[in-house]
Amino acid sequence: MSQIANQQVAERLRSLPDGSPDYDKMWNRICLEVERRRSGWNEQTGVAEHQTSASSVRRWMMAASAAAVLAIAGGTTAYFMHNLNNEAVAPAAPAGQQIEASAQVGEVKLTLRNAVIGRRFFDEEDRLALQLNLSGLNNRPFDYAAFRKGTLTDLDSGQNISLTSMGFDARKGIDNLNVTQYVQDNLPAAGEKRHYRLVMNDLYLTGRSEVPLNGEIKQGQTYNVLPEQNLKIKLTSYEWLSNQTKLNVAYQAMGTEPLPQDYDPAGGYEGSSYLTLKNGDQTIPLSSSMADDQGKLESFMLQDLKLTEQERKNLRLVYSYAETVDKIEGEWTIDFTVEASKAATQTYSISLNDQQAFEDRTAMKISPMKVSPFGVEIPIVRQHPNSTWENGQFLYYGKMTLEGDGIQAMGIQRPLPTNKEARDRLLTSPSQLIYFELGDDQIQDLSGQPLTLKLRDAMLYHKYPEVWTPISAPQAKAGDHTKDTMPDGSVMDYQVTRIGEDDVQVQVRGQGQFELISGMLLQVDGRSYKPNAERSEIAEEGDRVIFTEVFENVPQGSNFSINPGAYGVHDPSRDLNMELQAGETPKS
Amino acid sequence: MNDLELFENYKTTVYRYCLYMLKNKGDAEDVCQEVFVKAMLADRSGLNSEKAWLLRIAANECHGLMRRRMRGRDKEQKAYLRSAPLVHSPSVESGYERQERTAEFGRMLESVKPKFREVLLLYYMADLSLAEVADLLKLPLGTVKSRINRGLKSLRKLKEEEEGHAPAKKGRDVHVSNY
Repeated sequence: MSQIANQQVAERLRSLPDGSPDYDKMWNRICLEVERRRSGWNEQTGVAEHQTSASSVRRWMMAASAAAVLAIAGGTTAYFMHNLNNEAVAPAAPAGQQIEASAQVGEVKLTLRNAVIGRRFFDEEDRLALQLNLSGLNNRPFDYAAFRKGTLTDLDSGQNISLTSMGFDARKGIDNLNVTQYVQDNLPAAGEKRHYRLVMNDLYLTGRSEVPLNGEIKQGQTYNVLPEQNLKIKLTSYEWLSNQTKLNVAYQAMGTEPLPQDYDPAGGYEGSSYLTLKNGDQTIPLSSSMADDQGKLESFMLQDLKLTEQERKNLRLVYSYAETVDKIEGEWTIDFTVEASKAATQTYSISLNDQQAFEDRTAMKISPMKVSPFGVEIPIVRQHPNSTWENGQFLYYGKMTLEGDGIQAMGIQRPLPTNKEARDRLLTSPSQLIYFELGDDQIQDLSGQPLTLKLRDAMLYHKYPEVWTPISAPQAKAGDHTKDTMPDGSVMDYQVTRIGEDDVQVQVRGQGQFELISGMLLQVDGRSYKPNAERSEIAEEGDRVIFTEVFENVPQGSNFSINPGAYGVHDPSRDLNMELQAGETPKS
Repeated sequence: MNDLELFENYKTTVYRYCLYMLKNKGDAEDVCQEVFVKAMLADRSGLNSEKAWLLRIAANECHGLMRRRMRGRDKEQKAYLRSAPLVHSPSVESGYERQERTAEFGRMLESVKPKFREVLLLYYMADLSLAEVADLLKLPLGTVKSRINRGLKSLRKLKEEEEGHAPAKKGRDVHVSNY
């Protein structure tokens, strides 16, 4: 690129819009959070506004996710560690270079078992996985173990390499306390050896404890949960919603809540305090949580439990908290050498036995696939014979699973045609990628292994700009749920409400078959209105997904109608199992 | 520089870096806030460049969030499908060409691979020196230069594609939501 063009790029990069976020509110939240962390209150963060579209989406993501992080718009990041993989998958056979180098402090031994180098398809970077094991903690009751500090040094260059925090999870037993540390810098090149030193300092053991809230559970009540620490909990709200299937609980901590010593929220373990719900011996997990300077608001979804009225009354709240239960001070130092010839696992091509079945269901072609010890990449190319999106066209599979010996990974497709701009772009640049990233305990050499790709929840595109559904003039009291059959035969289940004088809210209940994608419109006496995207919400209620759109400055009129814009319809007939075989031929 | 001055001086740089790395306003706000929280809790007395240091924290946070996103399971895929992407919404009604060009450029930038996008943002948008970018990302200087060149090449290619094949914008349906 010429110098002039470079300058143009520089100018444009410098003038990129920032979308005008509310920096004042951001500053207020930062101050609150800093104050909270300085006081050692906890690592969940302030949320000044409880209702924004993004936060709703994210809360839903948290509820849906098995995994670790809840990012709340308007707050920063709250960490929850749920079990990532509830289904038992046998651990993978070791891959890469066997190291088996250890360091011991007292009885506690840290062992570096394997080093694996391979390609990560997400960022197209090679990386080194160091698989570590911790042992010698047999007689100590704890839930998590984490080192206070860790450094990895490339002894050949003297450079320090940053490490992510490592939390060992003992909840499933202490016989297999394993973590994998990933390194992307200072890797040995092909044919090279590289020498490293891993130094870990001070091991903290954290235990979680529970204290029931004794007495009648009711709003406004104060409970003495940790008298020795002078900590009380005031229940500021206890509210059943959604036909008694959702419970919102808000509380304030009166006193300082416990926190593990030197707690690092990025430490990979659960250190926060919260309330859980008990149905007898059964723990009902939190589906979402928010914190602000008024306390915490937690939600529990109970629609799947089908509780009787009596069982609902018998539910108990329990205060759950984490604290450091033991500390082993010392330094674990492991010197080791990674040989690229042993640690590096090739990227292989992968063959598919029935590509036609995939093309028949998706109208997409699969380009040569690749597999590395860290995952599988499947490039796909869309076919758009008419240079436009057509009704019934395949959008994506909502659930993609890769299974094999010791493998169970979920796939993600990018980019996704879930907004108009992405769809427009895919018309001219039709290439997409499906990634499967293997879990830490699934890293392995997949060459020659049979793999099964399971594709489920196919979503098909539909849009009928000319088809409008007449609705009653919106009233302040929520209207009845109404159903309208769309031209493709799917059913839109919606509810319309006027909010205040100016706004109209339309809620569409996805019934497992019909889901809004983008572009809903409201028409009043012939004039069209777009929703405010910032107020769009998506929530999950059991198997249903509730889409909420808010239209602003909508006049009182006589003729109202809605058009759902682009929507998706699930088609179970497109479910597909494909057998893959990772080839023996290394892919350059 | 006190905490407020630090925020006022660098909020736009940090936020824009996060926004164009993560391509999601909510995530960018979350990470930007976390960057300044960490900065305010840290000892900054020995710093040579507060901007480079803040961007180092931002880069780490963005990398972490992108890693965690990739560890998705099952419903996270669906959640990702439904999550609102970054909205540029070049409005036909407002119709300022410059805004349109800027938004187009933003969209092109989002299509550049993260590792190239990152160095472009740090070098051009945040105005760091090559050495600062290299130090911040723990990359050799040559790699940074190479990534900048490759990022620029990607942008040029995207621009050519855009100019050669993009549909005319003026006829866009103003009623179609862009979220």
